[in-house]
Amino acid sequence: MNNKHTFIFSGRSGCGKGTQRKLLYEYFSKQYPNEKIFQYYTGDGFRKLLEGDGYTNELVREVMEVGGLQPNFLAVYLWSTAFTENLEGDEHIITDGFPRALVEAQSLDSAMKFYKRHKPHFIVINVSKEESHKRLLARKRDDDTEDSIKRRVNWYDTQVLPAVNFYRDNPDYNFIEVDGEQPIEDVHAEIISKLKLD
Amino acid sequence: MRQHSLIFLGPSGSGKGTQIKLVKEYLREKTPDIDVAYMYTGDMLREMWSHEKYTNILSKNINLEGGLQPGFIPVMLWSKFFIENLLGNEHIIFDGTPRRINDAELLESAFVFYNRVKPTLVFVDCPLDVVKQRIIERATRPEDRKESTVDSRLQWYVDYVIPTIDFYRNKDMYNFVEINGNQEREKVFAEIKQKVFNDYD
Repeated sequence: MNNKHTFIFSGRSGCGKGTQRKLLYEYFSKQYPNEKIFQYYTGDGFRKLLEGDGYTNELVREVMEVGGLQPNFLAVYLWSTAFTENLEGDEHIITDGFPRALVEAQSLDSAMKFYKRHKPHFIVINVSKEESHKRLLARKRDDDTEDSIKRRVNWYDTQVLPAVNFYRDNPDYNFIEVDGEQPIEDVHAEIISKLKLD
Repeated sequence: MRQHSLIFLGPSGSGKGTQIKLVKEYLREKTPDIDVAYMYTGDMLREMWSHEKYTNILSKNINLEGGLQPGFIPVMLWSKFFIENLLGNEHIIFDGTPRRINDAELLESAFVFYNRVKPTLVFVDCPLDVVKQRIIERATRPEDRKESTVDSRLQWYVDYVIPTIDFYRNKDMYNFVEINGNQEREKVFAEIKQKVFNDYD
């Protein structure tokens, strides 16, 4: 069994998981300066897909323009390709952006077992539906509309939550929930204390 | 003729490889201006095992030990194939994939994304005792002729592939076509032409 850590970040849009992923990465690199860490965020992969000029890239752009959801297979393609190209077996892993649905969670589970990752930490940063909505409106980007934001907020309940529940009470994972409606440093501190790494 | 999306599933020894070859020839003849994108994960796995990266070696070792590949690997392979090859105007043939329900569900997200209308599941059915006999007869290596090896391959089919085939049954978004593989190959092909392409020549 691989004794390296795996951290999977999850939570509603706007919960601050990207920030927390980076903070954990910094913390971990300071604590264990000689250990390798592989960090992956599917958002970066989707951004790259948006730029290409192939048929698939064109369709990815169309989905984005109408504020739709990118298909599950593309999320799996992105992380599985990143794993295959980068993993060497002796690194810690920190991820964010997936799984976004139960089918993606099941697929990721097959990878965790394949790589013999011991008890990956699944970290959910909890914010209420209203708070998520508020934060998304506050940071509204050009391509966001009220409608597309509402869809993203609702999508968590119908799609992502079944994935989160896959990890809850799952003996193969260390499931952790923290309060995302407190200052950034306090969220980070709660994560560190609940991870009990030492 | 519209662009077809065909998934061929059935036990090894059902003759689906031969039938796929005939279908490819048939499509090239009937629709010479439409390409056929042919997806066979077996070939892609072998290509993957020829590289020496960590993931590739782990996957290769599973194969050498006769184990099961993890679910995400076939998905990664066909997704990569789609992203690198699809232009949107071709027929698609899937050979022997998906072999798990999770894989079928992810493939469904791809069919929706690529606007593939009514993909067809071609189930080439054949009694297991018949395919068992065929597998043993065509084996070139003595170890492939061993009854326990053949049985474990067929057990995988029963445990995983049959539930996957059932996933496609009675679902509105697919055509589900059942073909009797336990007859001469010409008759099998005639049945495919009728049921898949409505061709009664």
